[in-house]
Amino acid sequence: MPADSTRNNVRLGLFVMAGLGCVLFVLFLLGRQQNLFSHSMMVRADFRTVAGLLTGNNVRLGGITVGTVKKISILNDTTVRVEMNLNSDVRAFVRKNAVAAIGTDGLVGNTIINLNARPGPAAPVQPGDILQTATPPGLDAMLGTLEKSNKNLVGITKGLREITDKINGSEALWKLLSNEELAANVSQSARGAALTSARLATAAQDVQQLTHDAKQLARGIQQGRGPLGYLLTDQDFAGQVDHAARQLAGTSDTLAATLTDLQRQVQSGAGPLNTLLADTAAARQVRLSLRNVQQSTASLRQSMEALQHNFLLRGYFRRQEKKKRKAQQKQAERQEERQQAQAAQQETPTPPKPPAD
Amino acid sequence: MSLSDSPILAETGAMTRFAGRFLREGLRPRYELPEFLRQCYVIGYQSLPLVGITGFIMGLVLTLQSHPTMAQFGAESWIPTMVSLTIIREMGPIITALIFAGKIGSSIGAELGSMRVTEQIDAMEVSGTNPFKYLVVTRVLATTLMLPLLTILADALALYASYLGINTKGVTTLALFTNNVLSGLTFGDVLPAVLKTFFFGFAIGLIGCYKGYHANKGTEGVGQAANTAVVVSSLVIFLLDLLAVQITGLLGLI
Repeated sequence: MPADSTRNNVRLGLFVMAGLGCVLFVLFLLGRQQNLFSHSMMVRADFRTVAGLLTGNNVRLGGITVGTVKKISILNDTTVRVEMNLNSDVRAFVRKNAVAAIGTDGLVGNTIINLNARPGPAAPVQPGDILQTATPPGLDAMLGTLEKSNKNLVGITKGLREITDKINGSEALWKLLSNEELAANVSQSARGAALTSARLATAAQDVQQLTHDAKQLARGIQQGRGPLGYLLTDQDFAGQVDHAARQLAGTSDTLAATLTDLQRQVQSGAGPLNTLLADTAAARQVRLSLRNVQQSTASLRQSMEALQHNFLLRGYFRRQEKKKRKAQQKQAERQEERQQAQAAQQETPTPPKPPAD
Repeated sequence: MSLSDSPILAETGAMTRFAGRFLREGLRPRYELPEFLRQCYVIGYQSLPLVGITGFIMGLVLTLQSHPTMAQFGAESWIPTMVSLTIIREMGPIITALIFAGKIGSSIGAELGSMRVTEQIDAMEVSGTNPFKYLVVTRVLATTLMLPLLTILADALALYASYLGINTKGVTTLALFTNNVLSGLTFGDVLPAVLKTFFFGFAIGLIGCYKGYHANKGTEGVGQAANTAVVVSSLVIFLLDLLAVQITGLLGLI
């Protein structure tokens, strides 16, 4: 049965092709994923530590896988050189100043290399270039910081606990908190404070007004308005004052000279002043003369009274007296009239005010 | 009981000699190509429905079973990666090989056993045909080459079933699923898994042929040959798997 056999062989061929096709497809996809088939370009980077990077790990640019790690070699005790294969179609986007950093894919994923672009113009990388590297903070460093934070936290919570204990143990505080009267007082004080502050605000407004006025005044003075302004700003006045002061100084100098002169005259013993002040005999004579004058005036008065009583002159004195009395009487009448007029004015009836309630 | 009396060791030795004879006879010219193709058709193509259904169900069940747990950890997006790794690395090869051993190992054992019992093999020797070349080499070669293909197709079906399974719980595009699968796969996952299926296939064919070729006289010899062929080849599959994982680990491919 050759026909049957042929048909069977065709089926077998299909089966084999399907299987081989599947495996080849998967292998091709995997190979493309690992850049085995695309044209690639090798760049290098020197790290201090690669944190478990393996050959075949991904290299990412902006989060997109653009290559794989080709080779990891130790250059010296502090440098690990990583050679990466980058797809040549991303070559235009990887610049010479890009920074390579070791990272992880997710929290617990594979170690990867991240290429980060930096601002500033730079030429695209050439095959064999050595990229700059950055070392992100390692897990150990982070844990170290965390330990410090933890210690601080312990201290802080301890302190907080002590504070809480103290607050809990304080009777005064609780009394204060449970005192209702205090609350009322505080509220009243607050109200008072509010009132005061309102008044203060008004006062501040007044002060503001005042300063405004003062400012205006000062401006006026500066501009030379008013007497004070004239005083402070007029140049001529200052000159006059200066002149007056100078004259005053000259006058006082003359006065001082005169006084000195006078003193000298007095002390020298010549002249009438010295006689008056220093000669005792002259003083006694003056006193005697004065007493004589007194006695003379007394006798003159007696003589005058005698004259009044003399018949020749008595009429004249009487007329004089009568005239004086009349003038006094007139004055008294006029005073009485004025008092009466004032009283009448006070008595004029004013409409009675309604009683204030 | 001395070492020389151990039946297991004696059996192993005899089987190794049988394998050596297979290599010798297989490399020598006058190849039985039409018979080889017929065996490939019977062993490979005709096993495809069984293996395909098994693989499909395996993929679907693995996905549906792992979904609740993965959802608990919020790692639903990792299901494609996890299922594909499980299927391609381990479940696909092992399940396919066991099913294959059950179907093909037993049939080879029974076929050759009955031929031995009915003295057809002796007749072939008398007629000048090399029964080993005609019966054993073609079958062992066919199993060796067909099992990897079956495994790959079963993997593909299982992954497709996994895609369907994920889509019963949510919506995932085929492109995203493929990317997820590929992101978790490396050559180190695929190549050892494919390579070991050659050895599985070789072991199944070799053990089936050996048990059938050396079947005891009598009717129960046929049944015994079929039975032991399946049992021993299943056991050997696991032993080989253990060996494969050790070697893969040594090569750093895990």
